[in-house]
Amino acid sequence: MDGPPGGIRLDRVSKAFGNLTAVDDLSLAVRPGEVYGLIGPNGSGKTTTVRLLVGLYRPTAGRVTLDGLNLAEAPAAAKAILGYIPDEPILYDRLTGREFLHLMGELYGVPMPLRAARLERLLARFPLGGVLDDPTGAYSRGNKQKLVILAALLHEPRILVLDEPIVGLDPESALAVRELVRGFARAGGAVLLCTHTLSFAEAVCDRVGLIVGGRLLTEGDLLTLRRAAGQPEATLETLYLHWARSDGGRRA
Amino acid sequence: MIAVRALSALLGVRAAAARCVLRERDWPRLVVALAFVGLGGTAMVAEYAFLRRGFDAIAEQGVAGPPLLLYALEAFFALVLVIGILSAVVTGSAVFFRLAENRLLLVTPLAPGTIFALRSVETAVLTAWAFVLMAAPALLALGVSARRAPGFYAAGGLLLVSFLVTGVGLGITLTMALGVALGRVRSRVGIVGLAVLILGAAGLLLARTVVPSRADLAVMFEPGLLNGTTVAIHVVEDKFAGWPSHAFAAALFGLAGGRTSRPAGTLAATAAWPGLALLALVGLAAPVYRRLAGRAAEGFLLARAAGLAGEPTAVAGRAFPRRLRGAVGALIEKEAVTLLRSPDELARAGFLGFLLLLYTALFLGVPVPARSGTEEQVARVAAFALVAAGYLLTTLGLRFAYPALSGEGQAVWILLASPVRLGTVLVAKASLYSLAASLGLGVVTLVGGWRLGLPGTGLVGLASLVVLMGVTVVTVALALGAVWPDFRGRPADALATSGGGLLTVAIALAYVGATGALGFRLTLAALTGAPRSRVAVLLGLGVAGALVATLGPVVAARRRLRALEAP
Repeated sequence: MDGPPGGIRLDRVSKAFGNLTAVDDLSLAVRPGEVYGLIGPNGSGKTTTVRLLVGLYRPTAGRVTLDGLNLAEAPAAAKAILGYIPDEPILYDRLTGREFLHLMGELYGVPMPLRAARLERLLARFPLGGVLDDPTGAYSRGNKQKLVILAALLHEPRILVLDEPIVGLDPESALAVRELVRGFARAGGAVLLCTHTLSFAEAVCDRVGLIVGGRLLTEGDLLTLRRAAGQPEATLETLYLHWARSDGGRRA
Repeated sequence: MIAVRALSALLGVRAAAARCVLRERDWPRLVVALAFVGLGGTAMVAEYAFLRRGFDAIAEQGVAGPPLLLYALEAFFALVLVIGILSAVVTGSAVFFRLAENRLLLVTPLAPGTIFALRSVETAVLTAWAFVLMAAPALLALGVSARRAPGFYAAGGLLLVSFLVTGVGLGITLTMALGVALGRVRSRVGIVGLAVLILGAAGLLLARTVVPSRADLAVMFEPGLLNGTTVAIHVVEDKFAGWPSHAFAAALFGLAGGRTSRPAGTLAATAAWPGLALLALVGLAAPVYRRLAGRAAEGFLLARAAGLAGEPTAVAGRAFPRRLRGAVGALIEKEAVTLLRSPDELARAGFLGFLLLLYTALFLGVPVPARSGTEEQVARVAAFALVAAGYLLTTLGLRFAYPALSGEGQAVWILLASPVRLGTVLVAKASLYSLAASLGLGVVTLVGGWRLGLPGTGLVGLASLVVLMGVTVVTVALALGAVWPDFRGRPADALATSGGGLLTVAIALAYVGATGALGFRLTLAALTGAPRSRVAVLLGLGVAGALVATLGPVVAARRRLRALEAP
């Protein structure tokens, strides 16, 4: 786990809810400039891991570090460099999309002129049509998702955490997310992506980790995973099934 | 037949939920429910004691006794009727138009008439508090004071049920009329303006009628007779003749042994009013609901917003926050905007605002001038005003500040994932609610103090205590709401009637009581010309009391926030 201090690091992180251990002694690292995909079956602990990373949950044990900042010791500074796109885009129904984006700008300390310029640029990439000044309660699932993506990028974070980012998006927007993720990593940002859409993960991730029963079963780039599975031509989907049905996957 | 069966099944679901709590012996919820029932019971006992003394005092007034009693009953019934109708409108607008369950019911084969009947029954049950809590103790106090036989209570109870049917029927019909009006009003400002107009008119009309003028009082002490009844009784009857509550007040007066000018007509009217109200429900309200139900399920405002999608609007491009700056400013504006755009919250705030307006108007109508030798009585009235303001403040704190953090619901991830500390969020919410509460109640108390003829030091002292009370009660409510947050999206009313809500009420009322005692001493000191240092010491005690009341909840909230997680 040694390496440069930047990016995302989870050191022996566990999270228990009563008797249920959702994440069990998990360690992983995402380097700056890297896109890391976390995949696994339902209830494997992916979303819990993401929520631990962004401060929605507190670890029962272990340490979360973002760009060298310990999330437990310096939460405000750590969260300020983080952009988060949740699996369920639940918003303030009574605020308009524009009001919501400006609110997020204020919460992350983005000055007004800078905010306006960034919004213009981001809206060109993820257009919200004529609904920007409508209450978000009237938005479709896809538009809510777009709004959350815009909000996550408004403060120009160094780390991006995405939980099922393309659910509900039209194909054009899904493609834009793919380009966004790759571009973000190219610019030196660290991305942790959690998804069930394996073709999407295969297209954007540099490395992939398979989590089962709260434990990391295996991780590596596609080539390493193929070699380890002895399937040189396998897609990520085939590899996922291979590992999930292996002894380790069943035990977990 | 199918409709009746469907109606009983749907009502049965509600009853089953209550039975479930009893069957599963959910003790915490039962204890909280019983505690709130106990609070209501205590209020009823206090009201009974107050009215009993009042009726006894009226009975000792000789010739002026009967007209005074009739006036008191007429005023009281008019007050109960207005509060009952408004409560039915506030409850009905939520139950008929805004419940999420309505969308489900509308796609079932249930006839709109059946849904209307179900919602009417629910509105009646939820509105009955105004009649039970307020009118029942009055009936009991009157019967005991007038030494009536058990038959009086049976007849009086029947009268109150007819009164409830009348109030709820009129309330639901008014709700439907407002539904039609709101569908035509083109802006939120228009809707708020319409509501303020209605509430203001009702408040002023009530205040002008309920508070007896000097001329009224002069007539009531006149012994003249007209057709076998005193002139005073005729005057009182004429004054309230236009009110639907008149027949019920006059009938109860008759049952208590009083003589009205038209006893037969009064009795007929007590039967006619509930009949008319039911007729209005069936003939007017139900057909209107049939037309409105579908549109309401879409949401009056949302449906319009969708229709305008893509068109430029007046607020297009406007930044946020508009007035304040920084994270705290943005959070305050977000809270205020959310409240102002929520019809349910606005309706409840409007109802409490109406009670505040009524209280102010009544206070202004009953002058108690400060004269030499009456300082203690004046100080007592000032302390009563302070306690009344504190009681209203507790209600506001419980309904709006206590559920404020939980009100973030599942959107709480936005705050938890942001660099803003949750303590900052609470400070923003506390600032908004403290300011609103202190402004409203501060003005009322200052006006009251001025009417009482308090000197400058007394006014400043009283205003300081009100502001301190506003900040303290809001802080206690917010902090305890943060100790037991619930982000599952439960309604604010349900959140308020929980164990944490009960503790908020207990702490707030104990603090308000202590502040009332302090207010009495402070006003007395100001009236008797005590040195300013004494007023300052009393204010210092007020600050100490506020610190004692808030310390525990704030410490507990800070500890809880450090470990707070998303749902």
